[in-house]
Amino acid sequence: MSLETSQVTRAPGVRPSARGRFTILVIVLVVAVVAATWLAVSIGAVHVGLAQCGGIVADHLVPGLVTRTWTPVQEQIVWDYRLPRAVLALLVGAGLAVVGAVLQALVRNPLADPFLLGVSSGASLGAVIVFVLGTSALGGLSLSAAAFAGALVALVLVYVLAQRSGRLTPARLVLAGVALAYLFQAVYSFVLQQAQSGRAAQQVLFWLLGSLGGARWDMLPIPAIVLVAGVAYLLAQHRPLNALAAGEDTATSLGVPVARFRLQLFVLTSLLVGVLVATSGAIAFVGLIVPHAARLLAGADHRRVLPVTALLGAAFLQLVDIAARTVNAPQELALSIVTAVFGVPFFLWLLRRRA
Amino acid sequence: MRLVLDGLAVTLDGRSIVRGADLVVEPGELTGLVGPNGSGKSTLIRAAYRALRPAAGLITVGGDDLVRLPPRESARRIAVVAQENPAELDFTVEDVVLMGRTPHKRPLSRTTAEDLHRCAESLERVDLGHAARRSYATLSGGEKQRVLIARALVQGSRLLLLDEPTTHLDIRHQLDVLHLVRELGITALAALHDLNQATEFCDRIYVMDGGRIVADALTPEVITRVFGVRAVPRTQYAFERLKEDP
Repeated sequence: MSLETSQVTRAPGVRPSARGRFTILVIVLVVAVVAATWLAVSIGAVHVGLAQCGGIVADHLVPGLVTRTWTPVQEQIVWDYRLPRAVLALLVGAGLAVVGAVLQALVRNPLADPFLLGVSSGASLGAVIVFVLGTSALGGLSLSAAAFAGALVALVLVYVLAQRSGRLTPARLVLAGVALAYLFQAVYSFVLQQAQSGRAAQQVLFWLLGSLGGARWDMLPIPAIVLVAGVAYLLAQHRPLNALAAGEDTATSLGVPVARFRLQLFVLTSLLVGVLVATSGAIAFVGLIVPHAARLLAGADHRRVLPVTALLGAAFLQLVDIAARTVNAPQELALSIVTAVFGVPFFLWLLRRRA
Repeated sequence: MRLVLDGLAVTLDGRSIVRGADLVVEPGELTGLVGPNGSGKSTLIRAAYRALRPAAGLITVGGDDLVRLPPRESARRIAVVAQENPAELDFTVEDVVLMGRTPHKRPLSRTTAEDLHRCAESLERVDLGHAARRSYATLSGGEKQRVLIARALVQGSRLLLLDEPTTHLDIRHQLDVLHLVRELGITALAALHDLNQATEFCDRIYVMDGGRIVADALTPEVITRVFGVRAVPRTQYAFERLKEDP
């Protein structure tokens, strides 16, 4: 009997063929990502038409390909400011969403998000110290470097607290992460309170709530490489991920070396979060809601969930950043404010649906 | 494929749960493991599929030391139907059954038409061919157990471990599951809590008490000693009930 052609009457809980739909879904999402990015580059205080944006990008990729219909100022705005920011939005959106999906499988809890394991609080602490006390406070580390260093410190501390003879259990991982997150928050709140300048405190708050405003081309390679390598590894491991989501004993009985695999996932997701938070602050809700939306569209199998989550996260954060720049222009909104406006209603709907 | 436990001991959080258990599962037989709650049945089964590490003793499967086998290889030899519920994420029945192919797959290999064929075939064998695309979470308890048996079939292992496969099922589904295991003719070790079912379905029965295997047959003396109840043949039981309550 062929699964593709079998006639199945739709009983409650029956899904239509996921396989054929998956290809269409991926195509639609890729188009959405490109469209949102194009729009993001065009929109802003200085208007640059969609065609002009396309021309500028084409001209940079293949010089002399198109006739110039734009001014040097427009070119500078699009190529030096808006495009790196738009690319960073894609990387951060995709990365946070994928990390959320993986952590939900790792700790077997649908309410897990990338900031559950304390790593982002470590990054925030590093960033706050540099913001308030200056770069000399941490031996000349830049803001991003200090945030990443904070994330690494948090990663090691969470591991040390959560492991028991080298094995990580989800419950201990969550407890250690949550406890450390509170500790880090206490420390950076103290540092902030002691800060002399109210201006610094305001800047820090804005950074903590997430902003892509500092994007430059030279800060993109590291997140891009870590994200691509991470997603490639996770896709290759989609079967063990499914097994682990089904339970520790199930995964063991299916030949997954659970202790080693969990450690790999923990280190990988923590590094990803560290790199992303270091570039853009802690953007809430993306990692929580996007994986759920992806599963509603593509089912629970990680081979489909991971690519759909990445694309959906990228498109979502691109639209969120457009909204953050335009709604209250010329002032920018912190991204967590915008994601929360979309995220909280979705989250409540999800809770009701599960109950 | 023969499974042998030789002096198996398992310690959980410093407490000794299984103490020196000896047990043999012969190829082609359905071997039952019975005992009171907390006697160590589940712990023994979990050690036999490497979910727990033995503190002492040896487990051999097909003649090889289990803990020295690569995890993938032991999963190709041993499949498990446990009580754990893979329903946190909304997997379809097909997703759950295809998980059985995990130990046969390299990281980048795709799910093939053959995998899908095996999946459909196994679901037919457990009488759930119509349910491939249903959400696993929406199934009844008996259907879920049958899906897990289908997953074990797809896994292609020659030894099946069942950890209280009938708990939480109503009586008809309990019998369905045991009939199914019997019909498949696969070598199996099943922890069971119903003594009548164990005697009816198993070729051989081990009795556990206090972490030890205390008998390899379910005699009336053993039942009285281990379970603290009197064993009465069914005809006599019916007769005595009739006398008490005419």
